[in-house]
Amino acid sequence: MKQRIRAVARTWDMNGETLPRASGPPLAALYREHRLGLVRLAVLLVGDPESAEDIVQDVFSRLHGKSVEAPPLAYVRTCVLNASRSVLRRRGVAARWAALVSGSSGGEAEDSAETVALLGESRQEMLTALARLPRRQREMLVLRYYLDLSDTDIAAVTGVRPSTVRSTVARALDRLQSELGGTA
Amino acid sequence: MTGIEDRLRDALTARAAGVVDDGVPRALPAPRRRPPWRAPVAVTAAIVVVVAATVVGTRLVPRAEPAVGPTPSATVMPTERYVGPLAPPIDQVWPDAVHEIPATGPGGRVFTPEAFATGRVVVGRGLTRNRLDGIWSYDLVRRSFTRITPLKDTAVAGSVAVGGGYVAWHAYRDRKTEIWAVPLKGGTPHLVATTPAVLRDDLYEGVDLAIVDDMAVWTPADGGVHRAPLTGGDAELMPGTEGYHLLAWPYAARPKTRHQSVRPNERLIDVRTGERLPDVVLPPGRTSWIGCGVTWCSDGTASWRRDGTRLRRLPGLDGGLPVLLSGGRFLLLRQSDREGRQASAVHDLATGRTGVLGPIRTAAGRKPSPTLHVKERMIWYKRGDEQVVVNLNGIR
Repeated sequence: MKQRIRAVARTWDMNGETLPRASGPPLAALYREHRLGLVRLAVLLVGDPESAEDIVQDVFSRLHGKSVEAPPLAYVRTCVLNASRSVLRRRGVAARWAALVSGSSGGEAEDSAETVALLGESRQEMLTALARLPRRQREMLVLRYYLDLSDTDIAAVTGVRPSTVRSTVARALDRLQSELGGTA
Repeated sequence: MTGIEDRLRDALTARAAGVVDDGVPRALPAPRRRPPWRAPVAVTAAIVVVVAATVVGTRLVPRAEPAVGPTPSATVMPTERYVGPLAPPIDQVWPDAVHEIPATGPGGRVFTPEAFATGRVVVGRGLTRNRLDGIWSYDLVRRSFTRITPLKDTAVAGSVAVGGGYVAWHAYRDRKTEIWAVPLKGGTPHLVATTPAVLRDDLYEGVDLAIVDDMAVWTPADGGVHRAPLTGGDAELMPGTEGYHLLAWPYAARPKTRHQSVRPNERLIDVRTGERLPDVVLPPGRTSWIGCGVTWCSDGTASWRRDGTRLRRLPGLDGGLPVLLSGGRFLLLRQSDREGRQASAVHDLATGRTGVLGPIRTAAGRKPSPTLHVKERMIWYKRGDEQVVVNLNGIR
């Protein structure tokens, strides 16, 4: 675990982001400063603000007692990403079980998270198309186009090579383009 | 940068901005404590209990013991979140305003509600393969759908407005906003007015549209209350409304923002007369607000009248949405109780009553709430194969 934190920290440092080291701001300061941003990231990954809040709370409650006093933001983002995957996995299991029990298809809109409908039709359409993408494609698009991370940073957060990031993002954009067409 | 990338970036940013800071300071979550030997300890405890009960029941003579009260269960760690009793379900609080309607219309098309035309007629979009195919209505009494007009997918941007026997919407074409209308009883849509569109970073910003008597009234993203006769005609900017946006006829407010530092909707005018009403007054102990309607203001944890009186704590927290609905009378809240259950709720600032929307999420089940679709005067969500529509206008 310690090695993993250091690996992410090194990657982040190269990109000039604020890097809280052992002597940096403590966990409470990190939480205060980045809670909202991390909740927003989680909302984009899991859909509803309640789950997103829970994910961030849970991540920080697990960060106590780690060997570094305040892990780098990149590491926390990775934790949020992993926790979001767990939530989505649990939902998938629940939806499949519900479908088995009730005989309905299940797992559609009612199982999606609470979200805002006042975004406007065009944005809602885009988010719906995004939600239909495979998990990895969706994650990388969020990291690229919401957090503006570079391929290297996305690779560090998701644990794949930068070339994989590039090809995945390109495929995801192609799919969005084909689904949404040229509507503006 | 391609168009699809721009759209994606815009959609993600807008969705993320829906999660707002409610200003409530939050403490770092407590460390996660998970007893590593919970299962063996539980098994041992169960064995001890069984053995002890057997011994007590078969060998020992019962003797009088002082009465002992029940051991209180482990209390939830206090947090800054609202923790209190959940409100009753909304259909128990306002039974006349809550209706269940089919999620699909004729031909299997999806029906998404937009607004109540009357207390018994819901107007909405018909979607085939997630593409708009027309405007439809649903009669709650006859339980039947009627197609008002067929439409192409890109012909409607934003919400649909209903009133005065018409349905109106706006569309974007050639850097212009087009206002369209069609009689509620059905017919061919006609162009009401055309105005220059407001674009930001080359993205269309849309308008807030309403129907008042026989006029279409709207506010573009840069403010100003415009109007045009529903039968068609020139659009005119109503005098003295520059920078104001329509809140609820006949009131318009400024500035339109959710940034607490810029005091959203601080100023209020009556657009018919141009009269400026008193600005928002902060009650003692409050420093900002996240929204103000015609009568009420809220900072996400408390509400008060625009004149600073009747300060009340909200039975929940701001749900992170632009939640002042129906001219600011209703507020969408998130409630949670000591058992870890969570729910979204509608709170009526005028009467203080609250109703829970949809199923309650339990800590154990982690069942996510349904997607809440929030319109200015309506909320709807799916429940099984049906959908529940809440007519905020029907709440008295």
